[in-house]
Amino acid sequence: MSGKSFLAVMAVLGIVALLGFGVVSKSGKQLELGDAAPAPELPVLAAGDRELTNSTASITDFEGSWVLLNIWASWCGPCESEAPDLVEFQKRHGDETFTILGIQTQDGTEDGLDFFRDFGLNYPSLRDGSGDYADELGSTGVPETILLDPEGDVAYIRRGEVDAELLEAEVAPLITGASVPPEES
Amino acid sequence: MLAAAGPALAQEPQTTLPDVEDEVMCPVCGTTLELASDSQQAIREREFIRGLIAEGRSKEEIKDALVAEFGDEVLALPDDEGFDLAAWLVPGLAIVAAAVAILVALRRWRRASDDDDPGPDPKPLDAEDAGRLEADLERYGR
Repeated sequence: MSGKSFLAVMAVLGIVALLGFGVVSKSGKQLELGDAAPAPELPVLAAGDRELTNSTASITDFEGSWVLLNIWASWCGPCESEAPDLVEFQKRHGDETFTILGIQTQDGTEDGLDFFRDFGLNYPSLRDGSGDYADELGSTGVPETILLDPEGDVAYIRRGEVDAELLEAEVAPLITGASVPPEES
Repeated sequence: MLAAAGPALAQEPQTTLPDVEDEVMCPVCGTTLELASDSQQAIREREFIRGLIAEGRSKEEIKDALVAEFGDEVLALPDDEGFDLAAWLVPGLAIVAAAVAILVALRRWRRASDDDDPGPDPKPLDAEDAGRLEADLERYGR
């Protein structure tokens, strides 16, 4: 292979590698059962019934408790539908061993606060304005709900809207210890 | 409703919605805000921008406020400083490099053509053919 041909081949390979890197870096890996959830610090939108004194927080602030991450946005219709059921679930089960933690994604601060007030959310919510954290969680849309065990590992995933019946049937047994998390598939 | 932070005082507008929305993205829609459909997210983003325009904010201030809400990816155009400057420089440099490569290739091609062996000398005409050629040239007024 002549020098020029070698350079041409290397240039093409370099471009292909760059494109491949771009595709891989953009596609978020889907979280699976048993995975450790990423835990970046995010701005606090509202504290709900928790005492969050800092302007930022992460899931590590709830280490030792079950945490039900709920990814939502104020412009999302199904998020409005499920909000009352989540509020009720937090009322019934929220204590030092369990809390819901909202992740408000790709949404404005004022809109998020209006939603918080309108639906009387009683659990804390963190802001993920850019959507980067939702991507890290493997989210493909809103709403999505992920249950983390006290070690911060994924115990349950629901891609889509939840309701009272589903929360009581599938999430409550896990957080009360009535059932064990499914094995990682 | 997405509302701008701060007092809602009427100020002289320094920009317009069309001037801003072709330079920012609708994060959920996947297009610039200008091309976005009337999705809830796009509607609220436009209201947010209108609120800031009514406060007399400049285009750059509005874009900064959008970045604070939605991150850098809300900008449709890369920044012109830091690593983002590469997005402006690299295409230009690539065009210049391609132009230089084409020029170099053309020069080499031309040089190779000039150096080509023109081939053996043409065979001289015999007397009969030479006479016919001369007659034709006289007929056509050489």
